[in-house]
Amino acid sequence: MSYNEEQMREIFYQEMTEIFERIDSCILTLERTPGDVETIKNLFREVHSLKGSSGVFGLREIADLTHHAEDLLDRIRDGELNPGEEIFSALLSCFDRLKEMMSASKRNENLSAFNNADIIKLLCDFKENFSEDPQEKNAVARIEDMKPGECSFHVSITGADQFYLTGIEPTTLILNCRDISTGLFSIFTRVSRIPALEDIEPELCYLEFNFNFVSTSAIKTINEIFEFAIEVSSVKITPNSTPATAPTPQASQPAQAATNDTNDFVRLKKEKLDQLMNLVGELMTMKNLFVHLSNKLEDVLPENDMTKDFKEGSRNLTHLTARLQENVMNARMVPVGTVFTKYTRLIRDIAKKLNKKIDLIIEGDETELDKTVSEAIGDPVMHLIRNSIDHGIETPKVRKERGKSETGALLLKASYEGNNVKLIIRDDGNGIDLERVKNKAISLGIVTKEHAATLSNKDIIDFIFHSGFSTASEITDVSGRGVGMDVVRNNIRKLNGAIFVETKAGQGTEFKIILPLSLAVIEALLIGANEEIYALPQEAITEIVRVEKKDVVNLNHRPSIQLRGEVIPILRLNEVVTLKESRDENQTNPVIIVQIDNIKVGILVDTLYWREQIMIKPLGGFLTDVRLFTGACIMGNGSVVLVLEPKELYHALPQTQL
Amino acid sequence: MSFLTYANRTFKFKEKLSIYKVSEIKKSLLKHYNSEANKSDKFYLDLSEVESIDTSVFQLFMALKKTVETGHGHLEIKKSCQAFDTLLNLLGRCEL
Repeated sequence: MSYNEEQMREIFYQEMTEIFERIDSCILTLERTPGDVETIKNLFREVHSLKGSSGVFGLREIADLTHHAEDLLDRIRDGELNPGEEIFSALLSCFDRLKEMMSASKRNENLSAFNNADIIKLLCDFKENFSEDPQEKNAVARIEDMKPGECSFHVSITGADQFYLTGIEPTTLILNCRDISTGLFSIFTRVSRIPALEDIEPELCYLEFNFNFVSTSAIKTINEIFEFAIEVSSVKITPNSTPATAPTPQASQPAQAATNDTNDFVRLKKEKLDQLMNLVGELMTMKNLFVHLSNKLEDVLPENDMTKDFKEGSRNLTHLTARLQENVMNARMVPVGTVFTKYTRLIRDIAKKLNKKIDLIIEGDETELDKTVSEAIGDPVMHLIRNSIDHGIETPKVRKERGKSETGALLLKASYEGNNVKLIIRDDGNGIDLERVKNKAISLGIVTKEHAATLSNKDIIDFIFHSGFSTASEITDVSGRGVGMDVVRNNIRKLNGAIFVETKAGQGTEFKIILPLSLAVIEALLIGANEEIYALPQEAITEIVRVEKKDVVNLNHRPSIQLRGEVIPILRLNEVVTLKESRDENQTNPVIIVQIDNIKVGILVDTLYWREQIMIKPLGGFLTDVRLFTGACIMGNGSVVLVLEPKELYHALPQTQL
Repeated sequence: MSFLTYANRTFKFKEKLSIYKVSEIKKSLLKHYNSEANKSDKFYLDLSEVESIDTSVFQLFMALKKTVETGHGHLEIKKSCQAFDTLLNLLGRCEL
């Protein structure tokens, strides 16, 4: 295979992975809003691309099976079938098989070994709509059929429990929409929330509705119909298109238009962006050198036109480097939503497997994160989600007994917090049983019974991050092997992040993950100990104070200082990094207060230099295992400075004696 | 209860069925269903004398269907009425 063919193959499989992700996302959206015209069209388009591309690459077996899925979608699009849970499950099974086939093809395996008769039977067995109503035959309003001035609307109503108690009869809403519909009208009523007779609260409305219709009415009129429903339920009114005008070639060819849009994007391998970022790092080092020389110049030469130009050039170089760095870093940013979308399918499948009902709420999916960070965070977050569903959220029966809604809520939220991204994974389930955690820690010998009695709730929660710790009474294939939470925290720490847990018995658990926006370039404070310079990431620093020798007291065999009434343990940097006893020549020393996982530690240093943006390079050779340093950076004068890992400084605390 | 009678595994309804009666209907349906020893057979709904029906009663029928199916039985509509057919049509369904 030539180099170009190999490249094409690589691009093809990458594209197919993305198509599968988008297909999963479309199906899961349709599960919630079955009549969503735009999503059906998008799904159809993606499946069509999958079939076409597979055919071009000679993957006939994949193209054939995709053809059956496309047929089914065609029937949904044409209104022959009302999409329901069984259809979505069949489609997901089909695309799971196609993913397996695609992976096999990537490994150059023979695709004819796949027997797809079961999937094809599943896809073909769906009977036509039971409705005789010709309007419903066209369940999905076709935008292409719309007349000028018409607009298609999609309305979904969920959480309508209070409808009857507030005097709302859903049929009135349906009839009102039907009255203003000028053409096609379709409705899909979901009945899956209705419990068995013995469990039903007859005055609550369990029904959910999705309807599509075409109307010349303004959105204001539609809103008025649902005015009262909006107050007591979740009503989403989505105009599916702008009002139709006379048909234009663009309007009649949406697929073509979408293809043209993609011309604005360039597919780039991540390695190329990494190389670019490395080059920016090198450039920053050079920039620092010029700034350094520019400062030195004042000492050795009297000011003249040449020195002025040199300084001006250095300033411009600094400015341009900063802009270049910002742009390259922006290019590496991806929305967290791309990671969240993958979890949607996982949550659906696990919930089904465990017979649990889960309402997934995603917030802030547009929040952006460095691609490397976003990739690395995937597994830890997935583990937390598995734990939440398996051990956190209760079964519908238990939840009902506890007076909770039968459907558990799982929140995935991303937001910015300073130079960090904050991820929240919160469930409204059991909460962590702290008594069980404590007893388990005692039985595992992590802590003595006497010591355990003195621990705070936060200290007890911390045991869940201990290697091999699990309170699960049985090991499941979803989670509960007890090897996870320590790995979760370690992986987050590797990303210079931190994880915090809050839990309330019977009310749920919240995991908060704080991650840096980017790993490559950081702001650091240069500090000195024993005439050596070290870099300390600025992010960890909360404040800097000066302390006199007499202010350092020995508490619990640790040197500590008092800061606004708070006792803060301190360590002497020169003792930690050189293992030499402090000479303690200075009467006053700067102490840098850093915060690690909610714990404050003071670092006593000899000298404070300046702040600088640095590009961290990994340590090679024997230094790889020195955990005290996260890497090294090159200064403007060419010297190499080691970058301290704040979390490891904290671990160095017990060895430090006054 | 005048609007619901039960005989020969058939729940027969009449008059106007609405939210105002759902609690009573639920109790009555449960009572009759639980009194039936053989759960794993067909049960029927006779709606021929129903004058009007709303969605709260429709979801009660769906709940009954779920209970019957849990007991390995089957719920069928023996006789429908225009009000119920119209409601099903409005909800985009052709059967329970």
